[in-house]
Amino acid sequence: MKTSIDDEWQSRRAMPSVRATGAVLTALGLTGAAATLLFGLLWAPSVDPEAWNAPEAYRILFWHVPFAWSSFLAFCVLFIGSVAWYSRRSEFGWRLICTGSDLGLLFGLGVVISGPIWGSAEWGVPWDWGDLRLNTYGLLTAVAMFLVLARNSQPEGHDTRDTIASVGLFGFALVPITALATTWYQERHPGIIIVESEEAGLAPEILTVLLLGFASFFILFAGFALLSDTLHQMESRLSQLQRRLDKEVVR
Amino acid sequence: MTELAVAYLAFIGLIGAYVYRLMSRLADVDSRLEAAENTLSSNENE
Repeated sequence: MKTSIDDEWQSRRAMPSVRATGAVLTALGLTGAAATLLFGLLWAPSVDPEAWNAPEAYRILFWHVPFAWSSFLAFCVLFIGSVAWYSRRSEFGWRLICTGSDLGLLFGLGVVISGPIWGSAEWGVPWDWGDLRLNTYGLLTAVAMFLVLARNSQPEGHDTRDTIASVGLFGFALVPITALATTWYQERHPGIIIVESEEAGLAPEILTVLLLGFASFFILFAGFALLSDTLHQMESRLSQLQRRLDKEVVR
Repeated sequence: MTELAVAYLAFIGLIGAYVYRLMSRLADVDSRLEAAENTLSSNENE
């Protein structure tokens, strides 16, 4: 049955409110992230120079750690989307794959770029190939990059979506390995900093700024996810309308 | 301090580039969607 263009407008009416919510959350998240940065640079005290090789460079962690947790959230979104696509060929599932891979790449790149900068200062080497967590995380970001590049370069269709969803499922398997590698196979990478803040010699102010960072980046992640989903929804509707226009021209 | 500056410039650059790309794509798709809907709507009225 041919749907009227009015029906599509009807469903599109819900979109501006989602988009506005996404924009508000993004603005709030960016403000919180900026506040985290300022508090981290100006208010948080230095760490014990006896315990840390680069006591000032630790301030990179105020964004590095929330970036890492946001990337894990993104890979969870990717996993849910991949399962939804495989089980029901759901359009919503495909949009979750798109959003999860975009945000996984954004936050993953932030971690992979900032980590070696801190590593150079603290450890004297930017990367340790013997550390399981660094390597699995690097692979995870490479998976996100593959998914984004594949989506943009491959022809749209069920075969492409199947391939991308299967790679997305594989990528998610690396998330628990990466998260738990800190505890199980710790080489150089520090433990879970919130849990081990006392052992690491972190002052309560540092913990407060880290928690502010987590909250801000969680809000930012939600804003980005809503805006990204709106965009993918609009792109999907645009393709449908273009196909309908093509059919009308042929007729 | 150099490490801090480089790392935070990279973070801000990444987020800035992502927000800019997202907003420009939203504006672009919005205008194309509106044009397609207007064309289809006028075709239906005819």
